[in-house]
Amino acid sequence: MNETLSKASIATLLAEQAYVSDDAIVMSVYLSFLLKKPLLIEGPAGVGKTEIAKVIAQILETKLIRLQCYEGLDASQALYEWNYQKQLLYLKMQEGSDLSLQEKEQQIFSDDFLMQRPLLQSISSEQVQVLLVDELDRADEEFESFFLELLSDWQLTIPEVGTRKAKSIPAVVVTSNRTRELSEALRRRCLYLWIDYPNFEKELQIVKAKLPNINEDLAEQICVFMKELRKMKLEKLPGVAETLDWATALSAMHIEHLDKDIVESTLGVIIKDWQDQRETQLSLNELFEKVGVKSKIG
Amino acid sequence: MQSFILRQTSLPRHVVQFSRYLREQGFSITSSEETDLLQALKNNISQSFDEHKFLHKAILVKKRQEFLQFDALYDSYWLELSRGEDAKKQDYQEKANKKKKSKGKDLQALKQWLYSGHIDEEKELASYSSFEAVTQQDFNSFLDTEYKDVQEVLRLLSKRLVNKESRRFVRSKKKKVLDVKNTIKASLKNGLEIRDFVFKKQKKKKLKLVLICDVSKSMELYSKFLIQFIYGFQQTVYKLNTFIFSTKLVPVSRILKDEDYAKVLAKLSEYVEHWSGGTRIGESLYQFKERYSNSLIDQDAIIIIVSDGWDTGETEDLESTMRLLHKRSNRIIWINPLAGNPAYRPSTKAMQIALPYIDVFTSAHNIDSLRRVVSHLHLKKHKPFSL
Repeated sequence: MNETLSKASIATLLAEQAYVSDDAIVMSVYLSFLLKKPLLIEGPAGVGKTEIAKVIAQILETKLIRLQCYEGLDASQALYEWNYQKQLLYLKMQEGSDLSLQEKEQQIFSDDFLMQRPLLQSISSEQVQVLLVDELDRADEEFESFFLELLSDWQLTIPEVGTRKAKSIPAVVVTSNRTRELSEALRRRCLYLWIDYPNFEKELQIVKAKLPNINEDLAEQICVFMKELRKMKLEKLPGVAETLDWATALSAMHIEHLDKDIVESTLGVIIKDWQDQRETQLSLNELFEKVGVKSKIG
Repeated sequence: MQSFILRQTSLPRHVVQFSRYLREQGFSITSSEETDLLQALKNNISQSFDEHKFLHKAILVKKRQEFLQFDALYDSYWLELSRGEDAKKQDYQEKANKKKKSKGKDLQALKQWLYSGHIDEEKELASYSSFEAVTQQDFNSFLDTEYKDVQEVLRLLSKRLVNKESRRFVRSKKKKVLDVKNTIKASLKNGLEIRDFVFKKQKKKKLKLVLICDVSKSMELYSKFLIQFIYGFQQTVYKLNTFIFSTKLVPVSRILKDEDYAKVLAKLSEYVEHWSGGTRIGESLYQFKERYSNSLIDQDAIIIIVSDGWDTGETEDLESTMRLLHKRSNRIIWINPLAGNPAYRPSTKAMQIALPYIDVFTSAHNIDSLRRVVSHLHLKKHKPFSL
């Protein structure tokens, strides 16, 4: 990890990568460098948690190794796996050879036959890498336990060959959508950052940073609309990712102002639940009044 | 007891004092965080008050709730520092007196709820008793021999409910599903000669249980059973989160984990203000959805609601809440003490709204009916209940 980076330079580098941050984000990223601690980021879906890891990789000019978590994720998918087909093939080819069983075994349990998965990859390089463990809450507690083992000692044990120590300690970013509570042990090993939906000003900044050519009025209307939409009691509130998708779509269609027809026909870009869509459609007039485009109400 | 906040002159002392202050507010700060904070502060990276705050926040906070509370606590810490010790002492004294008074009132409320649903003599006795006369013995009478039966049935209930097949595999002695990967792996050690086959099966995994129990006035009649039910359940099931509600929702799992039943009741009386109040099912479930559903409810969670369905509050949000809980959870079981009566029809507004989203609708108001529920409970999701 690069501890020579100052806090101010991190703020600048984040901005250069078009990541609109705030003081809390900058401080957390900086401290994770300084203290060499993983950064645990929680928050609703689509607010830019994963993006932070990508931006850190760009800042450090290194590779991003991503481990997408899911229920049932186990060591063979997260740590390593032996290439059994290749081992079998090798043994077949060696059937007539003079190699002893012990020699054969040594051969087939060497690096040539080892398939490195994200966690092993992240500690196998001399250069510091960024390890993104995405949506850790989706994985089960068993996985969390062996991930903890890695975070504690920065080494992995492969029974056939022994213990592998980290050549360099990766910058680790762990994200969670809070579909289950992560363990206290894991929290203690990480720095914690909560990212919520942005306020109007921040969201507008994000839209303008990601889509520099967007019509200013449209960008503002989109952000006010999203702010009001998030006040509704919807099942799945749209995140910044949805705002950006919507802004990109409307911008590509050369739309300059929101109106009811446009919103109705593109609602699927920001709302992904049919019940939510229905409720939004019923509240469109009210939403438009708040956005301040009364004249456009059809 | 809360410690006084004093102006500290050294960094380590400040770190220790501030960490202690946060611990008193429920933060889980260990020496590891204190060391990190000290290391960061020594690097002198924070120049303004805000930067200083963000630095403390980034290191000491570990949960969302803490994240949301931190700013106010940080400000009040510095405010209290500036106030001085005398003023502080006075404040604490006032607070302590206030707490003492309200504790008495709350305990009486719980006692009233526990006793008034039973026979008249008990009710009369309860109403004559002054607060001081409420002894632990009164409460202990709820832990009679019947309680052991309750525990046994609850153990059975949880056993029937909590097993689900995981996506993970484990080795199996039953020769049903061949584990090709591990068979080959085992054969490699014998120079590719397959001597034994390895078999696998899907691992059983434990489901989480969430218990939401109505303790309003209309449930008084079943208060003894309910208290035994929630206490016994919490003592029996490892992964259980319990909430009680009348006019608002209160999480009580931590309190119920205490093995001393009298202590549990005393603590319950302190934390819950509205024993025997009106019922606000809609609002209470909405509170649950907003505050806890994200972290507690997923496809591995079973929600058990114990309520008679009488609602005196708004039911505006009940449908969307039930729909979401139904969709996200493994299943919803609604135990209605009134449903055992053949003449009962779930005609209250809240019940009508909730019914389409309930997977199992059943009655239990005492140990026998609970035993019947367990024996008839099916593991598969039920179709929505209709009469």
